[in-house]
Amino acid sequence: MSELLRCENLTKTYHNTKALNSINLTLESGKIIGLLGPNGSGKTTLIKLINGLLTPTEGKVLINGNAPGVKTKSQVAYLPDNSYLNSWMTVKQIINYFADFFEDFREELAYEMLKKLGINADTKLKTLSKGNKEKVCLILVMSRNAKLYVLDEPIAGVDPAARDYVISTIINNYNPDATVLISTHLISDIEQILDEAIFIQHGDILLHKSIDEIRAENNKSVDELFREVFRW
Amino acid sequence: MVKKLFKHEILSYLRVILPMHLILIGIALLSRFVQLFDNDSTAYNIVFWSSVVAFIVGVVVCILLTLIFGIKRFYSNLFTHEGYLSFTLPVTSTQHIFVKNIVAVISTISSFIMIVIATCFITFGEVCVELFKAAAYIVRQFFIEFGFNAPLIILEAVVAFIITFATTYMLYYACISLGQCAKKNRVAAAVGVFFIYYFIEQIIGTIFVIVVTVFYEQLHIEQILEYLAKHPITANYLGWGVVILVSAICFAIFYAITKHVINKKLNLE
Repeated sequence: MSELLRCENLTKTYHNTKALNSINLTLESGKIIGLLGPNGSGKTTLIKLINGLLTPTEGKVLINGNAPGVKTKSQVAYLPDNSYLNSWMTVKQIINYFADFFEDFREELAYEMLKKLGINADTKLKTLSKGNKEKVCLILVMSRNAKLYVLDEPIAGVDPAARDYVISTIINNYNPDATVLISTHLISDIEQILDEAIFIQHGDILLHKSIDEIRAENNKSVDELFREVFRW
Repeated sequence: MVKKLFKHEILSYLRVILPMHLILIGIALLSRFVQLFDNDSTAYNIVFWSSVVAFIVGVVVCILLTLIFGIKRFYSNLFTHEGYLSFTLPVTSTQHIFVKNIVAVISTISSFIMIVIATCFITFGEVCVELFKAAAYIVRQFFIEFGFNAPLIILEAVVAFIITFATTYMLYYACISLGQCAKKNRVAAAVGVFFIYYFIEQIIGTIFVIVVTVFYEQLHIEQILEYLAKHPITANYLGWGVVILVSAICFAIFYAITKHVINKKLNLE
């Protein structure tokens, strides 16, 4: 397993509020990792820093040895926690858009997944339901043959049936040599697919261990441990 | 990647600008068609003048919509939810800014060309011929006055217009970008930045006029004006040259601000 992502003393401050507090983190390739923490813990800030959507106040983040930039953006597939597509486009147009900009985009796979869902590629994105729009976003991201998939709250706003779809889409379509970083606070739904878990709170990394280690050391599931650690 | 950025930027403009151009041409053709039934009846006058008013409104809308769309496209594609995709594409912020600026300028020029074409349609016939004659007369006089310098002066003027358009859009980009540094109400903050800029510009202009007036003799303003009046070719070269230089400096400043905010202060909501 080679090192894919490294954060060194990574700090992010917004208007005097520290969102990330000098964190050090190393992620290896070929794993599915849960970035777990309550709302406002710093998950999205960390994800935005990885994607170059924020600049660190201090420290650095490296993906495959490179700071976020053109090179890393062609290797990282990012699913934000909100819909980010141009609503005036059709599904086909947004697929062409992804195919144009991302060399690792697998167009046939995207159409195959759309067909399974029964979504017409000529449909305008603005006419899709919220759930289908989120599924299209996920399909676009998972159709990439990326080195790092960063999924921010992919199951937060969807019903339990759709959660199963999201999880199966992730498992069945990610590049096995790649790493999938999934941010969520709905742990029980994804625990079965995780290799590692990172607990984050108030901008600090509380824990970063393999799922097996967590279960063996604590005699608890990750969900149980999460509830214990983050109890109000 | 730049070619692809251009492709998708142009496609997004065509979606809005092309129908608007077609509507303008349609109104012009309709108005010209109405003129075929020229008579003194009240009904004709109402229809004719309505079509003329519709054309004028169309021209105003065409100019405003082109400008507004150029600004909105920058804001919505980079600083709203669309920014999550735009800024995770494997392209640099410089490429984003320049592609948006260049396409906005092309769109503005195409709108002006379309307005000229539509005007030719609506005046097609004797009026149009007279307009062309007048334009040809002005150009002929210009060439007589300036000789072989005329094409160069025209070229310099065209460059000045293009760079002024580009700088105007870049100013709006800088204001929008600075507005993004606010914690809340970022659009309102961008409008505020624009008015502050406008205020500073007025102060600088006023100071310039005061300095020129107070030091009129020391700066040899009268001699300079006399010299330029006697040498119109130099005056034209110098005038357009100053416009290009000032615009280019402003463009560079606005670009640097925009790029700095995107690279260092970006924080999408």
